[in-house]
Amino acid sequence: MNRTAEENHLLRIKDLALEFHTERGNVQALDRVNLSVAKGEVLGLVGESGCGKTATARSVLGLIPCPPGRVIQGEIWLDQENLMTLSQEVLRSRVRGSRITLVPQDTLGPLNPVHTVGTQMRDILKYKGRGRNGRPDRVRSDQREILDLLRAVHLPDPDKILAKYPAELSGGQRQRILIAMAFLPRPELIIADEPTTALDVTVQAQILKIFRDLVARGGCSVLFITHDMGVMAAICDRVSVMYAGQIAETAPVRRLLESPRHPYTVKLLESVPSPEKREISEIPGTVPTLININKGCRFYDRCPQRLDKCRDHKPALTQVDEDHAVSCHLYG
Amino acid sequence: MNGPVAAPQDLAGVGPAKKLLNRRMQRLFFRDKLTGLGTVLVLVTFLSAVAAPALSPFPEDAYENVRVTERLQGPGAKHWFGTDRMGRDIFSRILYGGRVTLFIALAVTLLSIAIGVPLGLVAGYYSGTIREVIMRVADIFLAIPRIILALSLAAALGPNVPNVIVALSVSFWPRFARIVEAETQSLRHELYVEASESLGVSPLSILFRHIFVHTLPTIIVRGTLGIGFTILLAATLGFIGVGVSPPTPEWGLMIAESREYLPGTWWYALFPGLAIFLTVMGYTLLGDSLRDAMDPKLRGIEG
Amino acid sequence: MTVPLLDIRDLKRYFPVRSGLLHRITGLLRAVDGVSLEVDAGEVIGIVGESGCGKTTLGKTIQGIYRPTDGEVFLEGKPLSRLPAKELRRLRLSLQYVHQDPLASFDPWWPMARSLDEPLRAHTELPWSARMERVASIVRAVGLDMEHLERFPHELSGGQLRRLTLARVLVLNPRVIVLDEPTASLDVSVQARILKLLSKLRSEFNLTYVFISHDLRIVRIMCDRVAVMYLGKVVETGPTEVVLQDPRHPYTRALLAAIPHMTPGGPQDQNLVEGEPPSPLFLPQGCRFSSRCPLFQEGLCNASEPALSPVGPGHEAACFRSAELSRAEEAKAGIGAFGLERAEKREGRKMRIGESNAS
Repeated sequence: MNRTAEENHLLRIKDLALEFHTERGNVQALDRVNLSVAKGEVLGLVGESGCGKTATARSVLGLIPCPPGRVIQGEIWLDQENLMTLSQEVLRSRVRGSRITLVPQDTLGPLNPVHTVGTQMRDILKYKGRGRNGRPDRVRSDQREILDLLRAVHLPDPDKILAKYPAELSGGQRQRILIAMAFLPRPELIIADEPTTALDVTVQAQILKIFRDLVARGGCSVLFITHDMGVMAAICDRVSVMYAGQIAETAPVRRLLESPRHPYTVKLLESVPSPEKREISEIPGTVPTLININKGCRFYDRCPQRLDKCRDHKPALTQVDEDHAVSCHLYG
Repeated sequence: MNGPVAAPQDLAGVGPAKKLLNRRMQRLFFRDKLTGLGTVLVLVTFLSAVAAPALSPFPEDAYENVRVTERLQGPGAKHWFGTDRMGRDIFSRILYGGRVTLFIALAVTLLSIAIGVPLGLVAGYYSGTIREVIMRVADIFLAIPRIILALSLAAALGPNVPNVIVALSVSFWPRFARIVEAETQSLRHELYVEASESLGVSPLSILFRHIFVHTLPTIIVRGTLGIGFTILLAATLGFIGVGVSPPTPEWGLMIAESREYLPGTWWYALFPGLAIFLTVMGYTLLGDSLRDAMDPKLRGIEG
Repeated sequence: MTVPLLDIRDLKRYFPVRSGLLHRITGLLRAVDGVSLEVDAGEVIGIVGESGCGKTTLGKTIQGIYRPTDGEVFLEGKPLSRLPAKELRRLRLSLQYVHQDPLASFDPWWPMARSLDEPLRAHTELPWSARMERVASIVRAVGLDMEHLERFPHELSGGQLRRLTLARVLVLNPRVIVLDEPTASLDVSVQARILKLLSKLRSEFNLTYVFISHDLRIVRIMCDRVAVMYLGKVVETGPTEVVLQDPRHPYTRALLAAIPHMTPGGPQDQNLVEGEPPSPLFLPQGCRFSSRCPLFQEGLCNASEPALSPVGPGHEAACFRSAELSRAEEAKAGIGAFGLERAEKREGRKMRIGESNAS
């Protein structure tokens, strides 16, 4: 990818490093994370638990608690604005919930149990919609927009759903509503944090389909966090694989599935069960604790193809192909 | 129970358990000055009761003794807290009174725990008729205000220390039964209880090792708070005249005696009153802090 | 004919639903509503379905954690509900259940050594040192060492806890283990390791598994036979390969179609279903799947409930229209065959995990 194209991307995270202070020492949760999401693109952020996917997403939202968290370096650009320079007040009023919205994994917690779904959706437009106010014609068009979205997420009887309380709905229905809510203020970026993990496969398949349709319709960008390679394949245009707080590999999804370069990506894909496979393999060893981690490659201990220099020298994320970057000495 | 319980624990890392304990202790004793005050009060009242024979200047005044010449003297160098209508040293009598009061309070609390906790465990673990019988009986006792129940029982049984203990325990055990039953109900649905059941571990063993042990913090908190309230109740009974009978040095009784001589002989009522106040406050503060340290969720419950 | 090791006959488990001030029973939740299964020694049988289909309740009712509302479980030919207490206690040792949530299934105040020792202390007269020896050998067999025994549950990782839940039932030398979602909430790389461990343990200890899972991909790897459950009933059962290659119930097809394939673009299958399972409190009329079924036929599917009937050797499905789903029929009609088939041809038949070291 050439330089100017990257500059035009909607979200650009540059050299983000994040530390958490704990009793046992400093956890280097993120180490020089670089990624970007183009307009209208779905970027997958995949990796196993504790790899830093959620920390990256929370950094974008400005939701890393300090202390114990501390951003050591890095920039997060949303369009022409560096989010790192904005105050919490500005982030709250102008960015979170309006320019960037979130589809969470937990479907019950984010909804207010004492208000109806309709009230909560109207509140989003009232407080987070762009340049709106309570004029009667606006209220009518708001209502139409909400009903439109509920139909788009395949909720039967949207009028009835609006009058219901969150606890009266099933997990799948709540996730549909949360997706509708995320698209409601017409955000530039949606962060989806494992939105289908808690759902059954038949519902998951429906949700993924809805999500794809809505992205295509709304033209927004998505940062899609998942640990499920199948979900990743289903929804993402490009993918960044994370391991132990670093980006291991970034590539378009097809290329990543067909010709993964980083040894971790290779092993990870081999360990995924799929309908086509009757055999899966494991990755030996365990993810290193990120406290006082060694200087070299973080995958060194588990890597089947490690070189001598991997132990002491950290590989940098380098372009191996157009659109394909790997952080591994085998390719640099 | 079958076999010794202790052995496998030896394998347990002392480290983590100790760390956990240390952190709790820190929260308990340093974060909160009131905790310190409560602890000091409890320790002082307890030690002075234990050491009453050594500490009191006139141990012979504790029970029956008459010094006609020294009747109703104000606080001074010889009698720090003054003397009562028989000329007995009030300071000595308060120290000895502490023995009586604390003995009653501890005995009542332990007896109530001994009755209420097993019943609560059984009621909570076996639902059905057993539970209904136990809990409805407990409800009947709980429906009568504790003071009225204790008062009528004590009046019926006659004024002496064992009867006061019985009267107060009868009105107190249902509280332990209730709270242990509620905790058992929720603990028995824990997955680890179900897992032990599916492994064929006997119900008695599960009830004791998995459930009772987990209710201990609550029992300790309730017990500590309960000691304070029981002291208050015992003093009330003494004051009304259905508690222990004279010449036993009991704080409530001493205040009752002082009524005829008020307001001139203020010390006669003041010092026993202070003793009650400080002791009850000590246990209440300590109980509150224990509760907060062990389980912040319980904040706000009453003994 | 030999007696199957585990024989489940028309097992039912209902839960009363109480509501209102008086706690009156206002409904029956039919979590398991007439399930029959035969499991032979050494076999791995998969129970598949979505959340709320009753697979966990079925597992717990088989093991005896829940008392069956109706029906019977025969272990080694003996009816569990009609055995004298003493014999039942002894026999149930060979039938064990492993919970889905390993963290919650250990007492948080107990070190692992004590938790693993608990079943031995309850069932044997062995002295402590002998019991610890047994625990240690099992702990090594599941790939952990003594050091892990000193820890408390919250100090262990998900994978380690999973191994220890297996160790805890293995100390009793069971013949059948009901495994409830044994890889739930594990990362894929750890999941692969646990599955390999399960295969290793199966041959090492001659185990039979009832393998409960929501994931057909894992079932395919692990199980000889599979039973697909929907709203408390088995809708299709048969050898895993046959069921997955030639599913004869529309729900099985929907489950297969919904699996995210490792190809860009996601499931494109025509068999995707809409909506969500209805509440087991208010079952649809007739066939339980009728409210979501793409093959629904008025007057047939909502008139009566289809029973499991043979559609092939060892293969049964509970659908009035299962004949139309047969692959031969589809080929005639010119409908595209399953994606699975092509993939299978491409990959060839790979050896299954564990077969190499199976006896």
